[in-house]
Amino acid sequence: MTNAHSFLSPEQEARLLGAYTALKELSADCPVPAVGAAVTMALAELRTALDGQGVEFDYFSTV
Amino acid sequence: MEYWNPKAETMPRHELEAWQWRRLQRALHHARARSPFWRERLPGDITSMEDYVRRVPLLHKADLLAAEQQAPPYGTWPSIDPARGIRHHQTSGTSGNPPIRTIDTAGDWTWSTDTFCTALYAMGVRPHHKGMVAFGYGLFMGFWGMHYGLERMGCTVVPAGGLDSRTRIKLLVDYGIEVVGLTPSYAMRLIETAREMGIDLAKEANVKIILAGAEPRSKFTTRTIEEAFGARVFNAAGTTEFGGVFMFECPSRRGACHIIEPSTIEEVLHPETGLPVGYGEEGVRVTTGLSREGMQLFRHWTEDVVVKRPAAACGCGRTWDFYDGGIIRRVDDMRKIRGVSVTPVMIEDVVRGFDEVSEFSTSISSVRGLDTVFVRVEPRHVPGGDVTTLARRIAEEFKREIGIRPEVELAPEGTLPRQEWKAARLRDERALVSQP
Ligand SMILES: [Zn+2]
Repeated sequence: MTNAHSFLSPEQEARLLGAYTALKELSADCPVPAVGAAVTMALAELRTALDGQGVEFDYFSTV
Repeated sequence: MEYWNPKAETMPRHELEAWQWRRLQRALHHARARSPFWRERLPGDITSMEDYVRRVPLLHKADLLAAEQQAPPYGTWPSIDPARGIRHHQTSGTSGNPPIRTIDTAGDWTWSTDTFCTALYAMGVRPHHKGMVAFGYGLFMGFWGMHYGLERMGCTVVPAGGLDSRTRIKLLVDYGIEVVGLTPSYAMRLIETAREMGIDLAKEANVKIILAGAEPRSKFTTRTIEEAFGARVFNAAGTTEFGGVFMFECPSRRGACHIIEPSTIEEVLHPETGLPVGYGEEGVRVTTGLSREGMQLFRHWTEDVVVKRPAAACGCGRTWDFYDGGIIRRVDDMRKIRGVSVTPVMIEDVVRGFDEVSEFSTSISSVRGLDTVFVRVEPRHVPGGDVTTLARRIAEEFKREIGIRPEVELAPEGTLPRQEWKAARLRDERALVSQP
């Protein structure tokens, strides 16, 4: 069994990047500490996921 | 073969190298913009990998310590405001030297955790497994990332910090834990404890995968651990300075420790000339971190001696080159004894070859001007073993394998030190006596 060719489709990649961008906007101006913390942790996860797929984005100084 | 991250792990070499170069440019830009330490050391107009290697000086531990002293605790090294950190770690420090201290952001901590996931998944760990990390959960980074990595993969983690060895053995058996993280030295200690408890780990526990990290080990140590646990032992390593795992052993080829190349550029340089050595030749590992945002490394001289081989020499399909046998030794581990080069692993290979050895320690002293190796051995009784001739047999095997005859003496049970973290089984006392 192998998953050597299990890559994200371009659509999936775009959705991942979209989620990241949306959360980043939210984190810049989030009035609720509980939500802000959740968004920070989610951004950290998405950042690792995007970076591992070779997606170019503002990797440094984000979360 | 299944991969944690198929795209990154099987990327064709030319694409991987181009990707590394883009990542390096991004890392250099960030470092120069944010870190006073790096702004001083890094030229602003690096044009290629060759240019980078030619113009960026090697980074030594003393450089990091000096940067730290500028404004403790972290100094001028960080490329972030330390207030953004969610996690502090530090090395143990040696006599007279302060520790290296690092800080990680949420993003860096997640990356670090992901490097453990890459390693664990390759070793066969899957979400239905239960894991135990047998270490101190303290200031030292050690296996913290394994705890978080197991959680992140969906495994159940049984945290075993602050517990004694008997309690840990009991947890292993009672919960049918399949995955264990520890150092080889501590694995040997657990084996001894289980024997004292009358527990046969291979039969009564359910351990299948052991991540034995953090120190060079002999093939006998690996074999002993595998037989006692009835499990496969995998090597892996990371450092506090790097911030995550940089290599892990592949199930496809014994000893092949793949480098997590999207996160690091690894040069291998001759220990004296500093010139690059080719595949298959011993040299010192020099690392450039590509993923960590807060504490960046450019051309860090690690003092780890390694032998790199091309990815294709392993049959797993990964395109990441590997270190054959992991970290073979530290540069300063090699001792000259009567003209013969000896390392702790060479001695371990000989002594651990005897089933009757429960623990041992070695020292080198000068006796009437002649360098002499002293081996103290704690014996144990095994079926078919003969403790009365043990010292003589070890001395003969030592002479045959290494070329020097040591003085071997038996020590009473329980008198030699056991360590949870890195074991220091070779003490060189010659320097102490020759100093004025
Ligand atoms: Zn492999």
